[in-house]
Amino acid sequence: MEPGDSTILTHLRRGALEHCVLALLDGEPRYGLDIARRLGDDRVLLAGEGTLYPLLARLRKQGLVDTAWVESTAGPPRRYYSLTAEGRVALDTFQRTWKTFRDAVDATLQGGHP
Amino acid sequence: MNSSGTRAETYLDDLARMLADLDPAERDDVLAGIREHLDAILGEHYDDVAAVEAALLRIGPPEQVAAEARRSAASGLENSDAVTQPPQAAPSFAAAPAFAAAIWARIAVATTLLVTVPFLLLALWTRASAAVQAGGSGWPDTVGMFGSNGLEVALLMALTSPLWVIALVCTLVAPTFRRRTRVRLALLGPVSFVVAILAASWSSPGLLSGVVAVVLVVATLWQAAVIARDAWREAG
Repeated sequence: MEPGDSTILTHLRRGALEHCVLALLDGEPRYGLDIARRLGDDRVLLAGEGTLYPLLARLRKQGLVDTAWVESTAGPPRRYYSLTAEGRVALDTFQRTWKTFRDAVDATLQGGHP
Repeated sequence: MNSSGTRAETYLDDLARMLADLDPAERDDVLAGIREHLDAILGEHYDDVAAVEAALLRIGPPEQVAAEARRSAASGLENSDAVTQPPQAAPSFAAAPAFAAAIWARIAVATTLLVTVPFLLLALWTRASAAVQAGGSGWPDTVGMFGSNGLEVALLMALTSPLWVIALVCTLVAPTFRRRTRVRLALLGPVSFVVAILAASWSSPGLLSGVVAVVLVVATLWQAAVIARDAWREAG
């Protein structure tokens, strides 16, 4: 990535990243390390895996995700995150509007080229 | 603690310092999340320092996590109406399981210490009283507060056994303990009982039994401190 990309990415992540997390929880609960790995280590969606946890704390505080402890054979018990009914509504709303927004941005960017 | 665990604890200590000005509940949430992330890594790569270092690089510097925590705290205040309005009860329900999990664990540690440490110290005191009374020439026939070898220790422990039952239940129920910690905490009660009775009662041969008793009590007290420290940290 070029210098300056990280600032733009920080702005773009706001609003989109939390819905990517909700999308990952659509269908099955996941624990933190699993979510962090799926969001990828290419530093596009997540600046660092640690930045996931303040986001998860906020989503839980807002009632969009719920948590439960599950025993693990591979170490200590794990906290699993799952989508609440409100989280599903938020995800559905984002999925409806994201495509429109993305298409509008793409069209404007392409229209800006000679 | 092994070196990879130490490295993880150092990261968490640094992060906790940087989050000191945040709301305590939010700070604890973030720290708990990072700790669980690191526990999952350690579960996959026990004592693999290189793997832990790689995981800490992917987690990012604590300054970055702290900055994100402050942004999240601020946007949480701004955006409380932006998404769907959750029912008033939902945030407290969401927070309750984590809070309750920590309470079980902390009660388990506190009650286990209550039913072990005082009796180990009492056994040590009984031993010391015996040595003073005997003047070093052998175990007297009667010793201790109520005139019977170690009996008062056993009686007091029997009286507090309901507290031990509470300690055991909380230890087994607390969801945040590793399996090893849960077993160690559960066994601490019975082991302390046996050591305390033995130390207060075992009387022949005099000097050898005295030395062995003191060593056993001190070793058990030390283990109790170590187990309690580890369990308190895992309480979450």
